[in-house]
Amino acid sequence: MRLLIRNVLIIDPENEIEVKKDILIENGIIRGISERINEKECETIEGEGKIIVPSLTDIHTHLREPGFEWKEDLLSGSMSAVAGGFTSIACMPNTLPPLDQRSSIEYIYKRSKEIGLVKIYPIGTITKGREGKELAEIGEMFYAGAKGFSDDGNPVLNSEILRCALEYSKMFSVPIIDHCEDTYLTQDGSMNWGKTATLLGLKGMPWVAEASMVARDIFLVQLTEGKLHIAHVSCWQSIEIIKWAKNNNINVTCEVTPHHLVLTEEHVKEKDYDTNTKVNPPLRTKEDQEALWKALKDDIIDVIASDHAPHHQDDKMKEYDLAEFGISGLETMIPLLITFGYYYRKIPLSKIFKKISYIPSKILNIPFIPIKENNLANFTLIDIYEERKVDSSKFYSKGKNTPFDGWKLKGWPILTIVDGKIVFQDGMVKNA
Amino acid sequence: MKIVSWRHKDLLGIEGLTKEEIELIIETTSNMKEILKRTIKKVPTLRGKTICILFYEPSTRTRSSFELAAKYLSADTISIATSVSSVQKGESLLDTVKTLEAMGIDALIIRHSSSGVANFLAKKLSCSVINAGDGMHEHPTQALLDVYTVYEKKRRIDGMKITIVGDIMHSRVARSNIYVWKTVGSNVTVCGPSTLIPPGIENLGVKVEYNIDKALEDSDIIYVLRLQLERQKKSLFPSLREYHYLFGITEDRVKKAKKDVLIMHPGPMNRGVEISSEVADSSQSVINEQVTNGVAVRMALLYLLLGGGKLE
Repeated sequence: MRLLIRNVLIIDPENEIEVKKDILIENGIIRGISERINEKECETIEGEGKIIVPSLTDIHTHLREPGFEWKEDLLSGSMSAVAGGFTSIACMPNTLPPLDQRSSIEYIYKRSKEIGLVKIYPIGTITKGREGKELAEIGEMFYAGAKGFSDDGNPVLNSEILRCALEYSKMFSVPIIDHCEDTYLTQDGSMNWGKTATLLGLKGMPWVAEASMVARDIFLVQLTEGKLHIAHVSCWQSIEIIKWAKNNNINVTCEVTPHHLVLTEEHVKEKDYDTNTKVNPPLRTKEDQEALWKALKDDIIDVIASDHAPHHQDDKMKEYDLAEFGISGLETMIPLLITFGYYYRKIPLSKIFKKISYIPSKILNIPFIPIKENNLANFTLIDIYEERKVDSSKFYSKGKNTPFDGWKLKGWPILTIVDGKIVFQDGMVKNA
Repeated sequence: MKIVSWRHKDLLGIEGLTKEEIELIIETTSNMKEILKRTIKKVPTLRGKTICILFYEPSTRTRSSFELAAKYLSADTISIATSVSSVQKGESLLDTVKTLEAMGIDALIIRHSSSGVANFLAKKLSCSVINAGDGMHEHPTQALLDVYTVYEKKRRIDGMKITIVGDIMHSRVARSNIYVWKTVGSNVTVCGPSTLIPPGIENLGVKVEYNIDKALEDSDIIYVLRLQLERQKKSLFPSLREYHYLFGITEDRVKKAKKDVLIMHPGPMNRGVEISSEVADSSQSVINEQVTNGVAVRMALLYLLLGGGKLE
């Protein structure tokens, strides 16, 4: 393989630098980066209007295997990831059985190597069976390669269990990832609590269900000096508490999803009970949305993650309150962020991409491979001029559940190279 | 009244109906009421039309009211109780209604405990969908029969004060009534325990009042909602006794309202809880008229939605 990309904007997310250069890849290795590379007899891509980003990482996905293979499996999820531009993803352990022991973690690595597309890093459960009662074998799973621990989908309601988890995981310097939700407050809820839920007659899930748990978690980190990552922050009150924690040097990081940045609760009404708007945490208000964008700019929010939650249409084509929560997000995340973050909100590309490459890699302690001569090529080429409509029927993911179907977005991945191997090019996943 | 024509395939809620459309329904209902007074109360208007009544929740009055309305207009009806249907075999809602549609029904009348079900089905079906109550969302035919009942008694529907008392949070009747009264130009006050007043209800242009005596002052209509007794288990109020003490409509309380106040209730009543028997059976109560008018309003709606021919 010899590939020359001419005059392309190379993003260095670690240092937030953007430079335009030629780049030559030979047999999976970056052979040259300079103002002008004169090479013939190689495949050449004109880089005008395109950017290169290293090690694109989505640290919050649900791949549904084992147990829910009709929604997604490791193969379809891997194809979806590389089509979405990602070279690394972490998968959540709310499978059946949950990833709560060494053999399950090993299984994910084994399958992901067989598939050979995206690098998959499993997250193990905090508690056995995700039941919130007893700690799972965190040490065994860590040495088998688990990169974080979470009962995601469920919160850890019992504060003493979470305290133990934060204390115990310190030995491995591995993050506890919490889905912050006081489920007493959200029981039977299906959208944000407030005026729109009142109009639609749907049971609401109030912001305090999230923010109160964020506050509790942060104090537990202060007590234990453990490492905490807060999943899918969605309301301004959570942001305020996290800001306070960061100002007080408490070891906490957090993530936001593209759908919470782009949509609000109004969308549930506009789309007339379309269950693709049903997600947990729920779509919040305009005020929350503005706070999330501001926190992103101010680096209170460290990471952007898709919370890719694929579902079969049978789980979605039903009564709103009975439909499953979740949005299939891997294949729309990059264009959503470029369209709404870069073009609309004028956030620099290097800042956006730092939160989906360098920072998440550091949080999970997984490889981040910068674009440097003699490094393995592990990057994504994105056409930031390309504008097209989201077509969920063309998703590689089995989950077609997206509220963005038909949206015209700008900035699509066109080439994904994982550890020197082209895995996605010209709209096609290159299966082995 | 201005002449307007009916333009909807479905009746999903009051939200979105115009004042003129509500007036058209009232006028059509008056015609239907005249038919109901005849010795032979059957007209051939909807002959050859098939109407399916699918109820996922228990109901006496709404269901029989729709069925009689359809029969008086000569439509054929099938009525399905989900407890003895394929729903018990695990069939999804969408499959159930698609099956019914495949048999050639012209209208589906649906009641379901999930909000938004009628909206969901209307997008999937080509036949008319009539919402007979969806979760906590809307119950449009109830609100229309209520507004008609007031029209019949007072010959007007605007410029009045309607006080809705009870569990506003979980009530589709309350939401549809708020929409209908605001649309025709009347004022609405809602009153109930603060735990049962939903957030942001003021956005619908209603006044919220926790003190029942203040709420009832100058009311033209006292609309009493049924208290669902299971709400107590969820700690939304402490006891039926306390509920009655704070919000029960008694003869003494009725005196706070206007002299010619009308007492309404969508039924079924919990006598001695939200309303005392003395009030329910008083001369100001129009609770039975509501039931009679329910049939006429539903006839009017079926007629408008199914594009019936000339009334004879």
